Amino acid sequence: MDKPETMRPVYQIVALLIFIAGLLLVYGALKLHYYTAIGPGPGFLPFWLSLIFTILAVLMFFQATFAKSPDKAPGDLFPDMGGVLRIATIVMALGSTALLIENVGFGPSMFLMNIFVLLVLTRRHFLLVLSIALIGGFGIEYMFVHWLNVPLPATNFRAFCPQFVCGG
Amino acid sequence: MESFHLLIGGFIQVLQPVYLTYALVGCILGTIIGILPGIGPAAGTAILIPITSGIDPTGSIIMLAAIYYGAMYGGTITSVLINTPGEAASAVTCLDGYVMAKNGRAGPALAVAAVGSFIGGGVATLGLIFLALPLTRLALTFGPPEIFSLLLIGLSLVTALASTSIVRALIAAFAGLLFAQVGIDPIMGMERFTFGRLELLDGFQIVPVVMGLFGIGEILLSIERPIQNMFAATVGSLFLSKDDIKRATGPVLRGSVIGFFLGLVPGLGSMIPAFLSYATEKRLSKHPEEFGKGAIEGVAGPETANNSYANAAFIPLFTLGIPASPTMAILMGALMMNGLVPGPTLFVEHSQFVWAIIASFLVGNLILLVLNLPLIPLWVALLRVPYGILVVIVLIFCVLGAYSLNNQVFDIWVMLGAGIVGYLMKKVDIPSAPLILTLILGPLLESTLRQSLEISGGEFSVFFNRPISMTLIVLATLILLSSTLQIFRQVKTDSEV
Repeated sequence: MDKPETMRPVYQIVALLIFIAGLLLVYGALKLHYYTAIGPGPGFLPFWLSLIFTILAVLMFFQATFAKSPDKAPGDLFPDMGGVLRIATIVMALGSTALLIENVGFGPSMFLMNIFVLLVLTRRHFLLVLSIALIGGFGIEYMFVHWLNVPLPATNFRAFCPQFVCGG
Repeated sequence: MESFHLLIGGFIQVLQPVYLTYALVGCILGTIIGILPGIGPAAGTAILIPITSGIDPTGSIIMLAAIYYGAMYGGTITSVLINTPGEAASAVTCLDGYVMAKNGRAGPALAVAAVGSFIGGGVATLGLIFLALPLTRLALTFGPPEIFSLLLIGLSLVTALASTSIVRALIAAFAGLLFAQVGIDPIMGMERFTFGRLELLDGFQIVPVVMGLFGIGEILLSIERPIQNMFAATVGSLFLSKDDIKRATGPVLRGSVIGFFLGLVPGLGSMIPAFLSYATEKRLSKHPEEFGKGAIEGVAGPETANNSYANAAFIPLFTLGIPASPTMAILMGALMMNGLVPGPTLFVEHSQFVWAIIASFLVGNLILLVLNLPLIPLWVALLRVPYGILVVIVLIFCVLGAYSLNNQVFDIWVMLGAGIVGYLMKKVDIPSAPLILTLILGPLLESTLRQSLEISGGEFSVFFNRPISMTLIVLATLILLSSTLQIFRQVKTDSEV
């Protein structure tokens, strides 16, 4: 994607997205009780907040559109391919951890997350990566569960075993 | 006198070896958090909450508070040595601190920051001791209209001071207020914007949102570019010369006062006291041209102000139950997890606990002073740990902190979502601090507004009939008006219309 010279189009798109979100919120707030016999209802504040939010989006759009000297777009507005890969790594690692943590346990899911992130972000000897991943996964689990009494999902190696081998 | 008797009781408790250990561990962990670029005190405190889960309430809060002010000091080390603030409040320290380091004076810069932080923290804690009981008595007379008006001041200041663009700051503030509407309505118990998710009935939890916005968001931003390891300047002698002491005395004293008074105002954030102190010192200096070129006043004032602010911010939390900053909201959450409700009743119902915590501030600040200067080589060594490994450590604690809060995976998703939102907000220059502060203050703002209107039978005059409430409303209006005028001035000067 080509980087814009100024922040004008970026601000305009953001303002438009906020405007749409604001309208949806106004619509959602209107479905709640606005006022009751004893005073403002559950929809009172959401209605006014979302209305002001929408108006602010309009103001942001106009400010961006009519600015005489719009903000210059920073050189690193969009990350390069390497940057996108590193960001995607972190997002995928956290997402996978969230999916796995209650199925395979805290230790194994963190171990996998650590291995994945370390292999992408650092160029270290595999033994060092493995040691950090083990300590960061099983070591931290042991410390928090046994020393600090923090309940964490227990390790379940059966989750790695195919159903036709280990059964249901 | 009453306060001092209670404080002595607090000291007797906090000087027990076990509590001293918690304060020491908290200071060390906090300093490490402060040193790691991007992970500020709010995310750091949130990430480390699980560590305190096996500790009694007093020990737990002593440790978390120590993590907080430890992080405030830790941020200074990276500002001075590698020109990268570990947390926002230390950003201004880069201006002169890094230049001092380049000139071979990193030692005096770090020393004056440590001494200033100690004095600032001490002054603010003394203020807390003197003000705690009178403010608590005053707070007990506050009804919903007064609390609502006080919150309005905080909200108006958040937007007036938060960003280069007031419109974008207001958008962030209103987004936070709208996020605060999610969950069960506080008065009628009706579901709002939960989309059928049971996990959202209690609304968004502050801890995963803070960890996402400030922790994950910063990590995503920092790994955009190829990862480079940090190399710190050498520290050299830590001793301050007579001239250094002479030049730093005024800024330290003024910084203490600035930080203390700004700490009393909910919603300001720790950057404002540091920048205000810097601006004040530059204005008062006989040699303003030296600022930005390694003036010791430019380190002494802001560093004192931000630590004074950090300690003074406990005053609105303890006396009014209002968190003045994101970190205070995390600590408020930690207090509530331990069955303690912040606010005026805390001093009545848990007096022993509160005074032990206050005493721990003085002890903790002393530990920081004694500990940090000799350990500077160790902190420098920490800066040499490859950044990729630091990222993994932070991610582990983020997942741990988010999950263990309620033992639900949903909070990890919230943290990840908040992280992506935080990253995008930084890219389009929308500040995240107003969002967090309004998310925190939103529920209290709504319940006090609706309670006030119920008391008055729907009449808004309830806010103007009561003197304290009216004064606060007038102040909030003046602040809002000044920022609104700025919006129009900005539009007028920027537009071709």
